[in-house]
Amino acid sequence: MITDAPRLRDRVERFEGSWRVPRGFAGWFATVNNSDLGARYMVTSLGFFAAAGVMALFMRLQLSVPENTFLDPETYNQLFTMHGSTMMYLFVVPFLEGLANFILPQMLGARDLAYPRLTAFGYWLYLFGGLVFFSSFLVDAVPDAGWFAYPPLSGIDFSGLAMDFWLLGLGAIELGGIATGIELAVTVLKLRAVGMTLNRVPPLAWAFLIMALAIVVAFTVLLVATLLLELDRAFGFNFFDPVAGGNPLLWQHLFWIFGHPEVYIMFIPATGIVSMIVPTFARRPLAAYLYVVLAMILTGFVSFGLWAHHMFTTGLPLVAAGFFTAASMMIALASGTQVFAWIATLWGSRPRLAAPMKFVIGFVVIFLLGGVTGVMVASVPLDAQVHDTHFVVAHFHYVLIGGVVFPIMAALYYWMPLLSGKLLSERLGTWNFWLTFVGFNMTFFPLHIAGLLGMPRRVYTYPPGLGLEPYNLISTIGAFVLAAGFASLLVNLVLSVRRGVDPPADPWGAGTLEWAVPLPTPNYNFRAPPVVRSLYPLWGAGEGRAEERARDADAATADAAGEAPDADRAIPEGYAAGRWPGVTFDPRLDAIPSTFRATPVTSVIDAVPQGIWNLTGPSYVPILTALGVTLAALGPIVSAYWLSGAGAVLAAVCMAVWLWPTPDERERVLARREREEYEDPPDAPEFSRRLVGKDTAEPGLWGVAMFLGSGAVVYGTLLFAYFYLRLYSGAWPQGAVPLPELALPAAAAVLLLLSGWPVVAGTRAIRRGNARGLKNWLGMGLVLGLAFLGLHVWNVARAGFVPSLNAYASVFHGLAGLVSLMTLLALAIQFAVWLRALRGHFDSVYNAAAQHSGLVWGFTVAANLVAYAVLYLAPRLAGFGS
Amino acid sequence: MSAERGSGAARTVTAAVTGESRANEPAAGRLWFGLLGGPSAWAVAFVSTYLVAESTCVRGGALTTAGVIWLAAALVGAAAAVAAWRAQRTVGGAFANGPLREPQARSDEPVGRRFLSAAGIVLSGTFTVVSLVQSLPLFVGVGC
Repeated sequence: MITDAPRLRDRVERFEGSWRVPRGFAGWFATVNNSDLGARYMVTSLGFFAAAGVMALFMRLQLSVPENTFLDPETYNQLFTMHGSTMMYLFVVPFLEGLANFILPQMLGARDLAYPRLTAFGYWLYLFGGLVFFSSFLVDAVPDAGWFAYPPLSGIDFSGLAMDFWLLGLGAIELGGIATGIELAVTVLKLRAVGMTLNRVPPLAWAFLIMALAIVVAFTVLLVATLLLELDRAFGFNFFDPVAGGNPLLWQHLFWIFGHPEVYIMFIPATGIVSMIVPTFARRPLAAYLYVVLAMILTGFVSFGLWAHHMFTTGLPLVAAGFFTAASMMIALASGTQVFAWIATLWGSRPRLAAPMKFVIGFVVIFLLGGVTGVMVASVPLDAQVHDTHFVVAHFHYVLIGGVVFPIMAALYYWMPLLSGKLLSERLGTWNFWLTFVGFNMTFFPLHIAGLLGMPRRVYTYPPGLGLEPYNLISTIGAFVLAAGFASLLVNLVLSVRRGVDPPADPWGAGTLEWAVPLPTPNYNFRAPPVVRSLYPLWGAGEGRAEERARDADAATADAAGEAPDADRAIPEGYAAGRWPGVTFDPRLDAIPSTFRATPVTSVIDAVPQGIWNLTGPSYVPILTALGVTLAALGPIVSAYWLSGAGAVLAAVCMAVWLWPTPDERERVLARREREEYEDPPDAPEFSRRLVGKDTAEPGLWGVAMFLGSGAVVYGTLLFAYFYLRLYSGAWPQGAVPLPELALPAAAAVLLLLSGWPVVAGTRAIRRGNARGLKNWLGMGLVLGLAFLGLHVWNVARAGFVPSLNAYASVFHGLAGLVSLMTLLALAIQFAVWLRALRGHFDSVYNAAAQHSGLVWGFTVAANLVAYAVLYLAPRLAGFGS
Repeated sequence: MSAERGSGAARTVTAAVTGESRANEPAAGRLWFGLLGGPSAWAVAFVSTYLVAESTCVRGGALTTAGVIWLAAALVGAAAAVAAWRAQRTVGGAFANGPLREPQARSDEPVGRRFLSAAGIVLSGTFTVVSLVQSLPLFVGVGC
């Protein structure tokens, strides 16, 4: 153990230096720190929220009286499109991603998220995509086809340049969202504190895990759908054009396969927030933890079985509609389980009614009403009556504002001390709550009645004499009260950050690990990695909680008086051994490693220490990569395809730089440095030896697996499109297109299958330490892969029909194009690994990149074979082809 | 507690969480199947039965296939629940040892497996029932 103070001080200085965030204007673009980027995510999303709110006020003004001319119909269409899209894509999900970025490492006991550069890439892509989206106002080409963009309204015949902003701007945001989803999921699974077994994972971390996995699936579906629509618009494909054999309902299916899980992507973390706040303010553990977690998992799964309940009026078969009704009802059971768990937690307690708790209570009341109307519209007969009326507007605002925005506001009040080092004003918080609660109900409750009276949504005005006037007037007045509520939050944030109360450490007396971090939060979160033994490591069991209660009461009293106690504000050592009963900070691991960024990796189920995950430091590569992707998306909007090409090249070069390790980042070098820091000290703790690099434990493998999961969804989405189009087509292939030939595709498939073998052999060889074998086998795999790609492209080129011919041609070329792209990407990865093999980067222990690229190639072979079977064999199957 | 005592506690915890001897523990694969088998089977069955039902209603035919898919999903879910049940017996009786209280109790034990097995029994069991219930309309004559 380092016992002499100077040596420890030196180590701590080196450690803090390795975690230092670059200063100055240029440094602002290079940071990859989770706290900085999480805060930026949240601030940016609140900016978009404000913009969406102003648009909502304009709409409510327009509807305040019948036959109003404040807005013309076109502007009204633009406003409801931009309002809905901004709230769904630019505010709620990004805010929650930002909160996850910020809070997860602290909550889990990690020093940062799993892939810090991916954090930055996700944020910049979100910001750039949002700016592209909003730049439509500058050129007076504002999207106006709704946040759902149904064709043919969103097709090229009815929506010009405006929809390109929508499709491509949001495409960039979706890509950033998928990147963030992968990162969050891997962080929860692999970077938890030692001892944080699955039943000690805080409910919000579970919620973020489910949210992240749902994002990876749902956003991928939307990304594919938006690309298909853009192909229709820009290149004359026919996925959604019924005249050419396409089907506009295909878009509705794909959109809602994304769109309904999107609701739960927002709602599940909101319930996670509530499950964190309720126990803190009730001063007792969450009741029925197991069932709360299971309810969230169940909701995550079932959310993907609800999509068609948005399509009950499109003529679904009765039996199919029944499936979706039943699934919709199931959600109510899961949500009800959580509500009862919160009530049980609060039952008999004397909760402190501080601002976060007020918003939680408001949430429960409003969400309950929204949930009840949700069950109502899940019923086909009622939905058929109220579909496209203001009843639905009222329902989903009760769910999304009450069910999500209220918990978000609770989260801001609750975690603000970690964000800014200040407590928000309780007095302003009370104003904030009541204005928001009253304003919200004034705005949206009357819309239920207006909807039941038949007032349609998305229509810019209504005639007098239908009894709609009072409800709309009350709603508009309520909207301004609601806006005042949100404005008071803004005022509170600004005032409190500038001259708010300095909180004590753990100001709410909470039990979870994020409150063990010193205030203000250091870049590395924990200097000494924690070892936890409880779901609430900062609380004692049984009688120990009495102390916490007393401390809570003190803090509350001090806060009410406007003077929080300043003792314990920061924990100078970065850890506080023995301070809390359920967590230990081993001083022998304090400030280790000191020369590079790293955090412990643990096993998924029992959080047993496995290895060290090296975290990347500040870099301009993420912002440049995001810029490249954004430029690539901008090309079609400004009809400058050279810009797309330049952007793609920039992104590709940046990705290459990103993934190519510097001499200091190579596995063997890092492993040597790890050994120096962890193993060489004679007093190294016994489990530190497990923490030294071990490829099977590294989160990289999980990241690759999730990336491939997203790839599988891409293939699955196109296959769904293929079969759906086939279902409603009289002949298959359509029109004069002949059945595809079999001979050359069969040869290509054999080549593809063969290309898998050298890759398997190469990875086996390097595990045995045979570096030469790896080089040779990978080289052979590359040759076979290139031969497959060449033959595949040749086959497609000589197919004899162009994509714009009909829907069959479109989906054929779409799927074939996906095969080409995936193969090209996998070959590029393989090529990079081969180059690294030539340079001798790998040996029998350190060969993770080779293993990962083998996994990518294996997936490519399997997915392409399935695609080939569908492309070339399915039309020949009895009962399938014409 | 002093720093010295803290490090002692860390050693105790470490010894527990790194537990070298785990001969009786169920494999992670079985536990994950127990947890996710039921819901995954339900999800696959849901999409498949929707496509089959839509296809049957558009092109004609009987809805029996959809019913069979639901029953298959129920079987997979039941198998997952049984796997989870057997796993929890191996880890020492998840319910008997109080999985509901476990998160709150301070413990040096690596109890994640116990939790996962209990969760699997409940979740896969639930989805087994749901799959069976969702097949009912097909067997009582609800049509296109």
